[in-house]
Amino acid sequence: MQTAVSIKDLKVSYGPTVVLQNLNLDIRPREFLVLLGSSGCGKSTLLNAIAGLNDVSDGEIWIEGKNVTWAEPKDRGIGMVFQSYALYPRMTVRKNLAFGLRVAGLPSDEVNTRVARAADMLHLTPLLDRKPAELSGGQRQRVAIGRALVREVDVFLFDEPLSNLDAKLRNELRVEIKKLHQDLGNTMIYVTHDQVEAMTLADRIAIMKDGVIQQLAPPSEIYHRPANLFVAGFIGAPSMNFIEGRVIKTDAGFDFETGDTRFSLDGYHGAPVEGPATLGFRPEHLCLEGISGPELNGTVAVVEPMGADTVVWFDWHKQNFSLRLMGDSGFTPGAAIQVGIDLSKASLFGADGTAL
Amino acid sequence: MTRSAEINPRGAKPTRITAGRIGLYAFLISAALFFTVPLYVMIVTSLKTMPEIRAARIFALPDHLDFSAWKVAWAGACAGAECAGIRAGFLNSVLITLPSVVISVLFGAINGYALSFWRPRGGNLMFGLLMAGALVPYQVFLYPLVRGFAALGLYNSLIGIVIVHVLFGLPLVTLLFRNYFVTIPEELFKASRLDGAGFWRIFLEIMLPMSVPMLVVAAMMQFTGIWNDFLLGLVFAGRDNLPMTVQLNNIVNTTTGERLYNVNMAATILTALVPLAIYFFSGRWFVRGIAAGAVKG
Repeated sequence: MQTAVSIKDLKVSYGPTVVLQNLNLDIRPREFLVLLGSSGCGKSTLLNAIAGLNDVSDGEIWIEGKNVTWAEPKDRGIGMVFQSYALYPRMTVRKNLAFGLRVAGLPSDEVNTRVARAADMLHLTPLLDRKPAELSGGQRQRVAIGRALVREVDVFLFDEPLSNLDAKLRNELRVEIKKLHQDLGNTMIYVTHDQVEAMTLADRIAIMKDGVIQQLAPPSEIYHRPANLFVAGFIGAPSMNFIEGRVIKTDAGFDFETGDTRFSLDGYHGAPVEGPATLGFRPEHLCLEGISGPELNGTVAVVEPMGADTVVWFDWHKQNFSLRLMGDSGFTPGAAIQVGIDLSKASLFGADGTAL
Repeated sequence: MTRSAEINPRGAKPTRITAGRIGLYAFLISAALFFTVPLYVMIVTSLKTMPEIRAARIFALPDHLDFSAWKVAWAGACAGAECAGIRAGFLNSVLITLPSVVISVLFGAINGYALSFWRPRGGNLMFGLLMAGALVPYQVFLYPLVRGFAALGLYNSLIGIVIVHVLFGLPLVTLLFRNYFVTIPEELFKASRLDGAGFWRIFLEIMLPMSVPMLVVAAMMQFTGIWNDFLLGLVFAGRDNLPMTVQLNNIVNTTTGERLYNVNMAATILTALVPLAIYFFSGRWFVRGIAAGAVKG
């Protein structure tokens, strides 16, 4: 298979601390891959290793068919955008964009053409003679993207590019980045801790924890078929509801038992195995009407109206669960509530946390 | 009824003179006097004639302005047998200070840059040793340095004294720049590496233009330190290169006949004039640079 970026048995350590070990990852050409995880999971370390800004202890990094494990950052054919923008404060936007090309020794008309093209693409043309301090956060980040753009490389690396922006700008630039990817067709590797960015931008998401990729799959698969408990709990807001219990084999199939409640697992897509297990279901996969599967009879605790939808928190067997309803709900705290679990969309995790 | 009910607070809070305010101003004024009174005495004394000085009214203004003491101090005062004033010392001080400042600030900036961004192997150890070196009183180094310089043929020469000043200045300047550069986001360094810039290009085109406030602070600290130095100049400069401070001492301590207080005062002011002027005209930069080094972002 043709790959744009290929990581083979990568190991990165800072002194005695091993951050990444035996990491393998293949990224397809023109793919938008998001590395998602909470801070300290190794996602930025991986990105820096691909960029050549971190030394690797072992393994290989291939970019566009070349082994670049020992290559200098500038020779790897990559452009990178940083969280803090990292614009050169004493240079104008034009000089910021041109710096890398000037260092590379490109003829000045080629430099000017490329800068003009990038500025045009990112709507920076009127700002070319300003200093970074005279720009807004969104404009600065566009300059940072432009600096990667002028290099005309095949692979773009983004290190939490939107984290320093306010919510509104973040949404706008997110759409711009997606559009940019559609127009350019470059390979993009994007690090973030924001699951909304990951879900909306990615062709595939790699969820990382403690330096290990937990699941590598398209967003909808990550959302609907999480590979393990960590992924299930990490993605989704409010997060997935969990019930702990055990799976029991019966003549007809499998039952799930928790406390004094027991129900059949008929309709579950996976292959249950007898033993301790956790049943997970998302807030929107509970229904109030047409209940066919297991049923929860609880008490409403808190109602959170969000406009487009409403999250109803209810207690069942001293546990807290969330239910997402479209539009407004008629519930008030203290009211009785009867909901059914849609088992076809639920997830079941075995004793070791992996999906069954 | 409480007081707050009687008065309805509205608008700007009225300022009130409190005991604390009075104490604060009293302290500030006395501190200012502590430094200005000696200066005042020096200036008026330098403008008086010797008979006036003998009248022993040190705070009185001179009867008429008499600049002859300044002329003597500059060009005619005697240090031992030589009567050439401190003019020659002024030139020596300039010749010693300028190269010493430029070289030590430049090397310190390179050191600080390399230590905070490139993190060479053993860099922390080197930095630790440099700091330890800064803590050892430099009198300890005098004898070994004199012997070493004599062996190299640099003793009693301009180059020798400049090297000594650069060596003793490096720890502090390195510390200043290292602490300044660690406040610069590392991503800026990473971005310039991705752009293909190397050690020197990043230093000259990215980092140096960003560190103007720190350059000013380091240059001013080095300038005043080296200009005011006495011991190193006395030991290492040699007879022909004695800095102004040493020559001032020779003039003031020469006792042949009457002590010319007006000449001594004028010579002292002349010696202190350069650092004084520097602080006076670039104090704003100095404060800004100190703040830039201390506060992040």
